[in-house]
Amino acid sequence: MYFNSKGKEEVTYDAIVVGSGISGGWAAKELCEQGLKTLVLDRGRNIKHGDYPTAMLEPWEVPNRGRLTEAEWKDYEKQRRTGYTVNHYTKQYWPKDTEHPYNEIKPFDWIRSYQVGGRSLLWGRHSYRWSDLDFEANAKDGVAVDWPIRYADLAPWYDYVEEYAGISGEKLGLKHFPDGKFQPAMPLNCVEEHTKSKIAKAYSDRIVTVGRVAHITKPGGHLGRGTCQNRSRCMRGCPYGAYFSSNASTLPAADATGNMTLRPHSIVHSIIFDDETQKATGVRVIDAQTNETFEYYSKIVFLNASALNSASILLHSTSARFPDGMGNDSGELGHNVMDHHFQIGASGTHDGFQDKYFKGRRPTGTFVPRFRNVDKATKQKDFIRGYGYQGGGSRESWWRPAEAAKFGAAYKEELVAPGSWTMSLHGFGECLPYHENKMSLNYDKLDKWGLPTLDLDVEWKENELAMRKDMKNQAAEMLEVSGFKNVRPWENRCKPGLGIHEMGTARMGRNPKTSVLNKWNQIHAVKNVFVTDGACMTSAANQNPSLTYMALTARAANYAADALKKNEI
Amino acid sequence: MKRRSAIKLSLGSIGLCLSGVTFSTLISSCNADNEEGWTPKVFNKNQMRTVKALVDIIIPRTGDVPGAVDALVHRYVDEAVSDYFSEEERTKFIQFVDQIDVNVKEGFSKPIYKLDAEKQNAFVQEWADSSDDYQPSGSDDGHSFLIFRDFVTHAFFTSEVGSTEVLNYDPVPGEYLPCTDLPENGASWSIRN
Repeated sequence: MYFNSKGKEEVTYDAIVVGSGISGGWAAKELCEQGLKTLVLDRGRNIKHGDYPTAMLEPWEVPNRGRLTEAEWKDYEKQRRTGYTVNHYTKQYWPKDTEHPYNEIKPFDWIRSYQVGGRSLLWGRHSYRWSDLDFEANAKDGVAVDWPIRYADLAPWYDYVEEYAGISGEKLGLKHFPDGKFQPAMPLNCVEEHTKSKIAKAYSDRIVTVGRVAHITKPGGHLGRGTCQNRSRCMRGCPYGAYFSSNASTLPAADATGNMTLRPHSIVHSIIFDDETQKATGVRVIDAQTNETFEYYSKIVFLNASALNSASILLHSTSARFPDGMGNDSGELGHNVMDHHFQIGASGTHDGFQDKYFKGRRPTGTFVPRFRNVDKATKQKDFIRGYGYQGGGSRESWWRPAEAAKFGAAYKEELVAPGSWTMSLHGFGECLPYHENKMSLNYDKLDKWGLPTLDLDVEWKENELAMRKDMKNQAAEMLEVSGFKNVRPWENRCKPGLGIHEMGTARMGRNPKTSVLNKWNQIHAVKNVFVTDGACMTSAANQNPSLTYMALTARAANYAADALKKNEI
Repeated sequence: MKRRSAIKLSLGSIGLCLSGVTFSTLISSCNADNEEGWTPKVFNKNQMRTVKALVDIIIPRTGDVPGAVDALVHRYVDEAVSDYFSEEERTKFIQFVDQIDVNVKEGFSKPIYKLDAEKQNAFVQEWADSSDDYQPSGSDDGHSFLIFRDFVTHAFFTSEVGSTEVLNYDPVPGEYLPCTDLPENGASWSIRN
């Protein structure tokens, strides 16, 4: 039973935001700045900006030079599958799989982060706008349902969030890959400049640019955020606040209004639905530490718990009106799970530039915007949609493989000196929305709070697999064309989830019969509940999605605040 | 306020690094067999001397440039085997060290740490070139020479001495310079991007 010892007034807010990651932070900031008393709930512990204990540690200052032991690994059996996420410096930011189980009907790598700030502390920071090539794609291809918005709806909100978050990048003037409000671009190194000019000569449709990333490169960031120091130890938390995170940016802004109440350790059990008004009245919360249960009330609810968890909360919010989960009239809730497929590309070495080096560890690489199925001339017969390449050039150091039998003075001297220049192209491809790629709640396997665990039943299909062949071949061809040696096409294990871009479980659409959310991210049938994280995505495009979550969230939050003032919701 | 505490953190870290220079100068005076005031956690005296000799042969001091023993890699090996290896890995590693000792004595009638440099190198070269007979039976982890060498290499370049005195150390670069000349000492950056 749910009850509060406090009076109802004390637990009543104008708005509740569930989750404080990339999108929840933006919801908190916008709602608070619009004057709404806002309760921000996060299931994990609080992390204040600056509270990054491993940020400045060197390998010799930590146990086992930063390598986790087999015993430590056992707690992170799934979180470790990326190969780059969990280590000594970051393990405090990843949940232990042993404590947060889920069920893989088909292999699915669900890489989560349960803390205030969520994955905004850990994200890859690449920030690319979508275009109408993306928003019109489903309608043109006859796939799933049409997006209820177009680029023009979102463009001013991209401007708004880019200016505040701080996105560095180069303008290219491409219609299908729109420019933004950029801070100065990070420079390309000599082997990347070389590749850029070779590719420009060899192809009319391909451009090498520097990755557009959410890093401050010009002094004067909001809230005293400093410029990027090129340490590239971002995932430990940035003491300078140079990359965008909720912790360094949106949450302090929300807090500064005096309107935010932040409650960590708060697992949302479900959203409370009132049959009389056909609205949500608040949320039920389990305290993650004490297991006590509470109810909090509000006029509007923003769900920003990440795609799978937001859908999970809705599926678990059953009532007489919604026996299959709140807002699930369409039967699409929990379906159409998407991610990006990657772990495929090519790399090579270059004989030149032996007298050249670099200084600093730039926290981004190169980017090649999508060039397939952009227009008639680039139409492919084997697959629809397209992919982009991340990657970059660098010069090897001591970690490169050495000759098998070598040791001694010559071995040491060889490894101490800089090695070859290398260049890699690493594809990130669009995944289509398939109704049968789904998540569901498993009531036979409950977690330690008595909540159902998730069954994940997702796979790549024909279009993704056909696209991957092209991703590998074109990467190798582009490196060959650019004069690289030892060009090696490669492909690693890549199951859904590994891209850490889960999307689509409560999609937006025009028709309540085939979608969960409308064009303002409102649940069609429950107008005071908004979902603005990855769950809302109607298609996946090939770009990293966080910037689009930010823009959609800011747009929806301002709409919600306005509608509330006009008594429309 | 938050920003100020962040800067303090960074200065604190730089302070640590500076004090590290003194520390490493001290330890580089350790000669080949002087381990006074230090007791291995897992190896007996013979095993420790064997490990130390191997570490020294694989990454020796070269002129003024410290080697693996200067970086106390042998002590790290002892610590890792003791504290971070699983029981199974620990047992295998100790068996491996003993097997090395047996094989050296078979060939040269002396433990490796009592051989001259030429014989030490001859032994390690033979080990490196061999099909692997140093592993406990049933192991399929790869060639013991490569496993050991790569372990020592990682330990050396992630040590304070390796990172800051052998390679070029730049914990807070500030700016990114995309195309520079090679550094005067010809060495790489130590921190991996």
